[in-house]
Amino acid sequence: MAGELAIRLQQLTKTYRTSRGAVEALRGLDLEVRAGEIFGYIGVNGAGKSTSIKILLGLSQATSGQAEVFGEPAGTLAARNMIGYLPEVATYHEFMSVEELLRVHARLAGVTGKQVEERCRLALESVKLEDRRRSRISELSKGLKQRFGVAQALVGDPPLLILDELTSGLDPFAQRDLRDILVGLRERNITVFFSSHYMTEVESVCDRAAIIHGGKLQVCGTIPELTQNREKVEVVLHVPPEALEKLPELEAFRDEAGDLRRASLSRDEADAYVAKCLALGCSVRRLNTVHHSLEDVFYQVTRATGAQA
Amino acid sequence: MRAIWEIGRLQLLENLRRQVHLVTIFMAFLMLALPAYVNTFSMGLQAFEVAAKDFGLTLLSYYGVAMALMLGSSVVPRDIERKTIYPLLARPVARVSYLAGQFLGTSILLVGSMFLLATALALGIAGLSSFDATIYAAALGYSLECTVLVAACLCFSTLASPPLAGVMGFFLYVVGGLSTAFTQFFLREDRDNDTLANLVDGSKNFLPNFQVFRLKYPVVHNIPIDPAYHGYEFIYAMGWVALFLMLAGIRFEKRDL
Repeated sequence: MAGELAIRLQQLTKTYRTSRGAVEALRGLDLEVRAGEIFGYIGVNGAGKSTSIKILLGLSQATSGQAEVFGEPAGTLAARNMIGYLPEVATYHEFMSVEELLRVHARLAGVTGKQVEERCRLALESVKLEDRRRSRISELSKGLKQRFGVAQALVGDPPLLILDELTSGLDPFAQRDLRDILVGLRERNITVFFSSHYMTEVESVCDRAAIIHGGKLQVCGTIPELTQNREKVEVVLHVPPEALEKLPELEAFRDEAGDLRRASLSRDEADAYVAKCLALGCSVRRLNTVHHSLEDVFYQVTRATGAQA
Repeated sequence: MRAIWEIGRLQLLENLRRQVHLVTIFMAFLMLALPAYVNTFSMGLQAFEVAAKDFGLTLLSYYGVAMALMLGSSVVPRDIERKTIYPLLARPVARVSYLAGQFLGTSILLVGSMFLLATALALGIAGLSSFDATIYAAALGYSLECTVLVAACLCFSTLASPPLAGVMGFFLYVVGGLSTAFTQFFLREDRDNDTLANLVDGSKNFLPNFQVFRLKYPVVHNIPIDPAYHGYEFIYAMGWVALFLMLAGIRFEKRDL
């Protein structure tokens, strides 16, 4: 399965017809998720995350474009057979016990005979919910319900888990528990595709992530790729007046008293620029790299795209 | 088939949780007491049995129709509204299997309720006279009528809101249950309205004929019913159920959820 694509979206579009006219939820979304990776899917509300997830599950039909799950067209029984899904707002048949409802999901996932009990046991073990097997769903806290949600997604032993807003609205302890569960899934070579609004969570557990905005993919890559490529080098230079005459653009960086100039440069341009300044008689007073978190990248990307829109 | 059964079981349990069965149990007590109540007005005549059966079976029929319209038109929209449908349809389950499961769960509850009420009525009559098993023949007919109505409402609910689906189901029940005598005497002869009579007769050709399921008259008047008739009415009902579920499946298959 290594190197195989778990998810492939190609020029996916989705237009909803509403009373106020057509609303384009997806505008040519391209995305590839490799088998075995934990993939974070980030975007503001209304960016198109849930719509694309629904198309992958066959709950919604794409207007155009292609969506595939392990090479099978999304929405087909064969594709759905390979997916375990935790919805954004997970509502279950609350009057049933954890064990009962898990059995139902196991059977619906095609598990038969004695395997049903075994799969239920393993799923409950994976989310550390064995001691609540006889509890009613209605008796579980929100965090435990999400854990049950992961268990029901896992019970069919699917190679792909789609988790929509896994930790939304949970306390920090519950969030950490679920993150630990996700990391545990990596060892089982299960592909996890999860959408989230929590950047630190995506940074800490994901191999790769994508930011979607306005129904389009904005950036995609490993977390270091996403964050380091946007790092800035901040340099504070002492600029003598004669240097300023030869390099007038330094005037634009004036924000410090006296002859000091502060410049914020990309990593690629920093070396050449500093060398040029030194040659003109400038001296470096301070130089440091400004690291960007995924959250900074997210703001940059979504604001830039918002401004274009 | 397994998916249909599992979803049917979920639906049945969901309806029990909604305490639909408590309404049936309340009705069963009413049915049990009904013959004794009717008997107080019989003034010593043995006609009480006919009156009790007539009244009881009419009650049974209305109860079944009301429940079928209410449950049939709301099961799928409720699942969509509560989003319990998502984890189910994200499984390798065909949408038509999901609909069939919802139909099965609702129908089992309704048919069970009808036979419980029929038993209560039969026991009520047995307390004053003798046990009359023919009541079950009428209950079977009404049960089949309910299953057709459930399938129809389920089909309507895939393209309309629950109240509208219920109204459409009721319209189907009224037009499909109109007797030829009604159109002949009330529309053609009494009102002299041939256009409306033709419209009703014409539309009846495309709608289920609910008269087929109404065995109250022979049961009340102890007219023997050919056992093969139950087989025919069963096949007739299942034919309509299959058609409505197929139409619902076609409509529901491409619907965005």
